[in-house]
Formats: sequence, C-alpha cells, structure tokens
Amino acid sequence: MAISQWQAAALGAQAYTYDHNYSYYSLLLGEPFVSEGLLYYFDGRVLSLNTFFLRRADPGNARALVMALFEDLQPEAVSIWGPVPDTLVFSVPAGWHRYVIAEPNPHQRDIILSLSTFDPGRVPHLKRSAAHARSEGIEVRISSERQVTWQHLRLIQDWVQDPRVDAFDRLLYSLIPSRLIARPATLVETWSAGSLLGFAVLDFIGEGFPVYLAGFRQRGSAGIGDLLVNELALHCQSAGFRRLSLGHSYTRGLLEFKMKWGECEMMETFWEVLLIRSHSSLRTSLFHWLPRSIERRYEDSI
Amino acid sequence: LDLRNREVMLTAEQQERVFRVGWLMDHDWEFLSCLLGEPFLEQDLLFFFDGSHLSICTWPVDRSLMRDGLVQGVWSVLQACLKKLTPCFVDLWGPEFSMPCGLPGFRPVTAHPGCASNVNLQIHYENYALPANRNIRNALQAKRSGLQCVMARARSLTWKHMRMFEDFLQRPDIGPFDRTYTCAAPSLAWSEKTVFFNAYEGDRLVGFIGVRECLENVAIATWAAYEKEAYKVSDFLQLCLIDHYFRSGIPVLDLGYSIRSELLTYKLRWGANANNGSYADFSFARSDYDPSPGNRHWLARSLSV
Repeated sequence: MAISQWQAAALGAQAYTYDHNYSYYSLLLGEPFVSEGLLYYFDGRVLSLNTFFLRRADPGNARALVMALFEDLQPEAVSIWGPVPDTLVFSVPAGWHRYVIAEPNPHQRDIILSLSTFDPGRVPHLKRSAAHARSEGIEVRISSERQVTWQHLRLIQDWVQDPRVDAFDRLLYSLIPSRLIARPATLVETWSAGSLLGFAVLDFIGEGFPVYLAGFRQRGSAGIGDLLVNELALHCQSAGFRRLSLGHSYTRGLLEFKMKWGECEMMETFWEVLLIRSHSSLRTSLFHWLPRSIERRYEDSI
Repeated sequence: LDLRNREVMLTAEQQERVFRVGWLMDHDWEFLSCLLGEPFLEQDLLFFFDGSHLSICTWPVDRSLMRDGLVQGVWSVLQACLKKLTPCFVDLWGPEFSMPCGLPGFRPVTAHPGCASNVNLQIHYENYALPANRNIRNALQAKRSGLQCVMARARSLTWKHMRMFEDFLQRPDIGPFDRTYTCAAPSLAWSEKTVFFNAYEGDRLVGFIGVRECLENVAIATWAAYEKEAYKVSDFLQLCLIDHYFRSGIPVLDLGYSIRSELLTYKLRWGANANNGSYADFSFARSDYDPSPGNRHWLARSLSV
C-alpha cells in the first residue's frame, strides 16, 4: 500500500538518514511504499529497495516481505541499496543477472550533525571564511521564498557535468528546479555583485527531519561551502531542530568537510546492487524511469 | 531591460498579472520554467533563460496585444535579450506572424511554420454546448459499466501512472520536447496547482489526465495517458474534465495542442474551438554553437550530460 498521510507523518519522525527522503527519491524511482520498516519504490518495471530500515529490523524478516513483493509486482529488475547486503533480503532467481554497482566505501556515507551541540565558534576555518566573505562583499541570504534563476541552473549544470558525479546523482540534481517549483523549499545563497556564487537547498523528511538536499557553488570559490552549511545549521538550530542530515559524501575530503561541523553521527556505508531478469530490455544506464522515458525508443539502441 | 543583474525571476506583481490575464497553456510559466529556465515577463511576453538558451513565448499574456504591436514587442524583447543575456541559442514559439525572419550573428536551426493540424484547442464555457455524439455516448456507457473518476491533488504519481507514461513515450511520433515535458510530471504532481483525474476500473488505474490550475480563468489539461485495452477511458475522462470545470466556474478549459490531425478531429468532436490559430516554432543558433536536437531544453541537457 502506498504511503498514507499518517504513515508520512510517522516516517518523518522515524527517518534518520538522507536516504529516507522518500518524496524526493520517488521522482526517480517511482511510487513510494513502506512496510515493516522497509522503504521501497516501484515504477512499473523496476523495484527499488532501501535497506536503511526505518527501524532496526531483522533482515531475515525482511526477506519474506521482499520475496512476497517480488511475486506480487513481478518486476523486470530489482535495485537494492543500503547497509544490508542484498543477499540477506533477496534470493536471486535463476537466470537473473546480478551487478554490484557500489561496495561499502568508508568515505561514502551520510553525516548527521547534532544541532543541540552545534557551535559555529568551534568550526575550523569558519571565521576565516566569514572574514573573507566580508572583505569580498559576499552576502549570505536565506529565504523560503527564493526562486530558481538562470544562475542557479547554470551552477547545477556545471556540477552535473563533472565526471565525478555519477548518473544517479546527475538525475537527482537535475530535478531540483522542478522540485522547488512544486514544493518551495528554503534556499541559502551567497551573492556578490549580482553574481550567485553558490546555494544550498534545505528539504524536510516529513516535517521533523531537515536535510541538506544539495549544494552547488562556482568552481574555485573558496569558503562558500562553509558559509552555506553554517547558515543552514544555524537556521535549523534556531527553528528547534535537533539534527540535520548533511547528505552523502563521495570523497575523503568531502567526508572530512562534513565532519568538521561538530558532534555528528556517521551513517553506515552501503551497497548498491542491480539485478536484472535475463532477456530484459533494461540496461544498467536506463535503470531508472527518467532516462528510460526521455530516451527515444531505447530498446532499439541496445 | 536590466536582466543580467536581476536576482529574482518574475516579481510578485508579474506573477499576479500572468495569473489574472494568462489565457492559454503556454502561460503556465511554472511548468515551462522546469524545462526552459528562469521566467521573465517584458512587454507582456513570457520568456525563459537557462544561462545559455533563450526561449520566447510570443503568445502575449494580454490577448489584446495579438492585434496591435506584437511583432514590435517580440523584436524589442529579442533585441534586449540578445544584448543583455547573450544567449547562444534562441527559440521562439507562438503565432507565425510574430516570428522573425532571421537574427544577425545567428543561423536558423529549425523553422516550423504554422500547421492547420497543430493548434491550441479550448472549451469556452460561456458559449459551450456539449455535443451529442458518439464520444459522449461512449463516455456515458463507460460510466454505466463501472468506470470511476478519482481526483488527486498534490500527490505522488503511482507506479501505474509512470508505467503508462513510459509506454506512451515509446511511441515513435513523440518528439524530444514532449519527452522532457512528461519527465517533469512526477515533480509537478506534488504541486497544489496540479490535479490528476484518474480513471479506475475497480481498483485498477486505466487512464488519467493531469491538469494544471495555475491561471485564474483557464484550467490546462497538460498530460494524459490511457491503457490501450481500457474501454473508452479517454472519452470518459474528457467528459469528467469538462463537467468538473463547468461546475467549478472556471470559464476556459485548455485541451492543449492537437499536434496531428487525428487528435485535432478528436478534440473538435468535444466542441473545442481552435480560435487561437496555428502555432509556429523557429529557432536560431549562434554561428559558433551547435545544439544537439534532443538537448535544446535545460532539463534534457542536464539529464543527458
């Protein structure tokens, strides 16, 4: 059964990591569902399972649920990501192909900042970044009424063109403008002389869990990341929130950046596995609804 | 015009103006900005800029400007944009007579003149009578056979919606713009201004029409898909839509563009009128810029890097 209103409220209270942002992930993965603490999505062809269970569930119990879903939905492919190995929740049927897209990497994980102890005065290099911003006339703005301008779009596009950004994140980031139009969010921006140097998007899972959805900045604009995270953390702290998901890191440098903000919890590292029925027309690059839909007659190009 | 240094898109007053006087689907700036970039309003013309591509809608927000000064207005906006925004690609769409023949420093890329089979179709309730024809009978028969319409506002699409969209987009006659256009649907389905009219046969979704309610006087049927084998679903949903907006007091229901002659015939059978005229689309690229045919819109470019 799809996520009901009361489940959405409960989900907001139970969510503990970026990966629980079901309304955002659903734009790419399909209709969101929750059952037995398992968040999953279905788009008509692909079943996507998130093994960051909403409550610490026994994967053994989840296995029965997943196999029942598999029988019921008859997907052409299954995508499983999260800290629980796919083999613990799903038995690969005969004739299916299994692809390991990502193995647990110590640098790739979500970081949850504790806002109850957050103190900007103790964040390394923040004073220097703030002083630099003042001397350069950089202005930091935060608003829930800001809208997406062409400068925002250009920063997003520059970011997604970076070869280090993987296909999934490119799709997720590309949907940020339409997401902001459908559901206005809080934006933090840094401006200098009419030029947008960077911005960050604050989203919420339910109403109770703030998430740093994504951030973008001009290349070479030193210290802008510091200003954006600081403003978001202060904003959430003053609104009474106790934690803020800073999102996934992909490199050691980014992980260290996210951990410098104070007391934080490191989420588990994760697997990402794709399983495809033999003879399926799906390719790994067209695993998600969006690229499948936008690419013309993709079966012809296999 | 001071466009480069402006830090906001449409001002609140401009948004209000488009809401009050906008009169066809091309004035749904929120939806179009998902695909084309930041929206602007100058000389009562909406245009969009994404950092490199400029898209100008030459259907004026105030309909009365269709008669006087439209060509001058388009040219004036175009000149200002070329100077201030320095785009490398320019796309214009709207009435054919408003299209420029050429742009200095640019070469023509596409020129789609108006076509009698591709027109915007609208139902104006003020002088509308439901035609008594086969489509109405089909719709009523479908209703009697148990088809039900359930409206959903600001909700996630279900997997059945996504599957039907995907099947629809496999059709060879669907162009790149329509693909990108559909890809914004899951995001916009969450908007308070988006309503899906869903047809159910029992508990099975068999078709839907997605409507944008973003203009005061016009409801816009924006997306639709049906299961091929579903019984008269399209007729059933058309009737539900026409009936709903008649009751709600919105004076105009925009059924979108006809694209091809069969769809034109179908929409005309519902009593829609084609008074807005045909639609032309011209584009130009700077001499040193080579746009890929499928990547003229921001969202498509961003998705297909």
